[in-house]
Amino acid sequence: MTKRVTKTLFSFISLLLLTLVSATSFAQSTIKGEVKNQKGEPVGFASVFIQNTVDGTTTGVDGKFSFTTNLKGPQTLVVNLIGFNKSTQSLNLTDSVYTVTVQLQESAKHLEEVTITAGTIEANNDRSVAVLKPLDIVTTAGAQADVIGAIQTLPGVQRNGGDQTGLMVRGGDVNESSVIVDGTVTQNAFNSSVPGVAQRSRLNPFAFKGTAFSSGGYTVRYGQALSAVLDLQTTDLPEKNNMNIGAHFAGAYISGSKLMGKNAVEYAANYTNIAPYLLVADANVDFYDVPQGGGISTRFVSRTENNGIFKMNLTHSFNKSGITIPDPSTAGATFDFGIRNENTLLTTSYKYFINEHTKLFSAFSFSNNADKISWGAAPVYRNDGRLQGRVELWWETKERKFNLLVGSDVQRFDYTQRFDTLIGQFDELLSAGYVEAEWKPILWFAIKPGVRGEYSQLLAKGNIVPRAAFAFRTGEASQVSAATGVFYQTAPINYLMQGYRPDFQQSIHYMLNYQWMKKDRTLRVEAYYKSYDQLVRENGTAYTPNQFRFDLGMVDNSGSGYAQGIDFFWRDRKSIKNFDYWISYSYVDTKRLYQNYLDKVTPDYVSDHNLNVIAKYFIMKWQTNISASYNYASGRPFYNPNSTAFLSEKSPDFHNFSVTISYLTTIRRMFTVFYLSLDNVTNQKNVLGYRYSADGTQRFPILPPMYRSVFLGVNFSLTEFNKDEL
Amino acid sequence: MKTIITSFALLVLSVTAVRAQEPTMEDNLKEAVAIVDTAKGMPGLMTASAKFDLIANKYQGEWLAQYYGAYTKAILSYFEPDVAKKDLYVDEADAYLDKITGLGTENDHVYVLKALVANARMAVDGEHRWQEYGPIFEENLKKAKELNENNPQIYYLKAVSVFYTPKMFGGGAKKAKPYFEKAKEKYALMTERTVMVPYWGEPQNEEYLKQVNAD
Repeated sequence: MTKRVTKTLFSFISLLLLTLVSATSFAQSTIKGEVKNQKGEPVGFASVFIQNTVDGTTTGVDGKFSFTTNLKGPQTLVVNLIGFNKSTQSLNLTDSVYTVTVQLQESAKHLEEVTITAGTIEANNDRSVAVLKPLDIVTTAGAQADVIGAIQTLPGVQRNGGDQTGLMVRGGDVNESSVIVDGTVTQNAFNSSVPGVAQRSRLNPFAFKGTAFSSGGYTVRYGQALSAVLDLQTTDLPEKNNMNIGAHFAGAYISGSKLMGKNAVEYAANYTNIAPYLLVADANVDFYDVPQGGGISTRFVSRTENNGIFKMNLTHSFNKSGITIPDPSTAGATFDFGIRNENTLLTTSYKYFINEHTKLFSAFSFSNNADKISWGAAPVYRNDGRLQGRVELWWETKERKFNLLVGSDVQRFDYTQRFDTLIGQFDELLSAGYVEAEWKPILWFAIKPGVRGEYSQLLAKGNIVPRAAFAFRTGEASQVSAATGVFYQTAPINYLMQGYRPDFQQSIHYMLNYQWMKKDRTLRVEAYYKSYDQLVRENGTAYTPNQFRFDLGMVDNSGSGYAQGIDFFWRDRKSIKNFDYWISYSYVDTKRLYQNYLDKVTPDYVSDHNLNVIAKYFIMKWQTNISASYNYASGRPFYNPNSTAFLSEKSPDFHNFSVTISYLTTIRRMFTVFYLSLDNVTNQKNVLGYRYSADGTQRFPILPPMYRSVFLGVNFSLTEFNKDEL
Repeated sequence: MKTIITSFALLVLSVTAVRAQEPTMEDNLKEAVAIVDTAKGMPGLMTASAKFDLIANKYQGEWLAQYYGAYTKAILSYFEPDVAKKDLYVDEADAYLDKITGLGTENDHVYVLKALVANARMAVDGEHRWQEYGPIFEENLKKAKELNENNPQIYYLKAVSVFYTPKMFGGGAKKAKPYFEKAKEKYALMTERTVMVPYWGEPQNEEYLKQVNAD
């Protein structure tokens, strides 16, 4: 009996189990179908599966799929592929065949967020818009390894023929742009100016990690520049200990960094002497005292908690030179211009993240600059200094759709000049406060309104200006951006030094920008209109084309003007391997009545057409980089006293063709670069304009300081190498 | 009695049958790894990657399941021609790495994987990213080596990285050769090939060695 029961039980259990087994193994559901995108095209390689199981498959290139599952009851079918939103749908599985069609939506993440690009050409670490990275700067032929030289190849920037020191942007003169380093204005961004001889900037291209060049419509963080702002950020912590040693036709230098955990100390020293350079250059000016100089700098960088960073930099430099140059006051005559310059600059900045979404930034700088000049027989003494501080708080919402920047900056600067017995002096305290918001309600739209208020103690006047920028994404790779704003700037220092206190000068910018960027190809087209108002004007004096004139007459703000034009930029680093080229073209139509001008005309520093073609090719096999650049600028107006119309005649067009060849190699673990630059290879005899004798009978050409020149150098860099991994 | 035995046999059979229906994580991984091993380009990898995703999702608590998820995503990013998508693959690999970190797993394989993912991130835009991701790559290989200096993948990854570094920056085939040789030596030390101990890289290492020796 027991036996029978057991037997029956066993049979029953076995049977039960068998049934169960067969139920699971033989009663299956088949799920098949097709996956399509929004356009109805098949989507291949999408993963199709039942949620929380390993039952699934991938679609074929035809978008079709089919798989079987033993699962039963309500299940969730998931379809997933990179670049698309995950799709889920419920299925109630009861051993049969299911046919499903799934339409995948392209995920928004695949589209890059819109960024405001009107006016600004930005180059930071990950966005390769129109990147001018250190290596770009030093390998751009014709830029002479100068940051400003490279910036001059960008659209909207006036080609400097070699006779003006500074940056001229969209019809603006050299006074209208400002150079910012780590949040504070660099008062002496260029070496002290010499009449008719363009000076290099003091900026070392290797010191910067980010460059944002704004040719207009810039942020409320900055003011006191009617045209443009060049905003530079210095590098963060170095990766490793390293040392650089170099020598070239204009001197020698050494620099290095020592990394100590999250802190680093960097140091640099240089000696310049351009004697070897002058030996092979075709110079139009005569150096009776060969330019020599030296500088030392030290820098401390510390990475603080929460990814904050503290930077402090101290630089001191000394330069002297003596040049025989055309006399700006008498055409045809020359005079001796000697200068000894000493410059000290201290900058500190601190970025601190209070939390993931809140950032505090503060910056402080101090500079002092002294020039001892011998102007022919007359001694001139110039001294200027600046103290500046900035504090700002930046906050964003958790979804990062909205952020707000509130800040303030205070700058105190003074200038003194003694020319013979004439003394000019002023000091100014500028205080500013600003608020700027950025809102991206949807992925394809961004708006950035801001307000800046500024008060000048010198003028006992203030102003409040609005600025705004917008951006719309118009496609996967394209966007349209617009910017507008009001900009104020006090009169140039030569007026202030003589005791004139004209009101702020004003400019209003409107710009519309189209940008297309895909796979290392960038196209930018920007149209703009600027109006100038309240420009400084001299009354009651005769016109002279002398920038260093002393008699300024009666000064008021009756000047005005406009600038309009179009800038075009194309860069392609993709089409040909190791080949990078960019073309920038700018057309500007500008007229102004300002300073000592007699009429509203195109100013004498403006070329209507500017074209730059830069090409770089890296020959892997030879480890050699060849860079060539061609610059064209249409003729600039010059003053002819015999002509009936003011500034109506134009100089011949400017052409320059330059080549730089660099050879890169590793010598005993030292990364070594040899470079040879030829500027103005064809020895084109450019004429920048003409000066006429007082009686108008004789004319003298204004020449660039150099025609053809050769520059040769070598740089060794030694990085602390890993101990052998083997 | 005979019936009992028959029933019992049937029972055993059916239990086995049930077991067979329920493969282990190892079985699942094996199946997917087999696809990777024979994959030629994107299609095979995509299929394998989809499988690994499912396995990783099912075995949330197993670092190895997450490991293979990340590994295939990193490899896919190298193959993907669309630059924007490359980053998305690396994002997914990073998400798996985060899960492994969440599980608290720390071993040489995890560090090798982190190095691989950093390298994949760098490779998306080498020119602009080497400064940031190069050190992360090196750092993780170093940590892996501290935990197990016999892991051949350390030397294999380093070798490939040196191989693709331009000659003038101290890289190139000649400089990479000793690393490939070292990797070969270490691969030879691996006695068994089981998915439970990631063993990828050996055939590729052989390929590179051939190429390096031919140069």
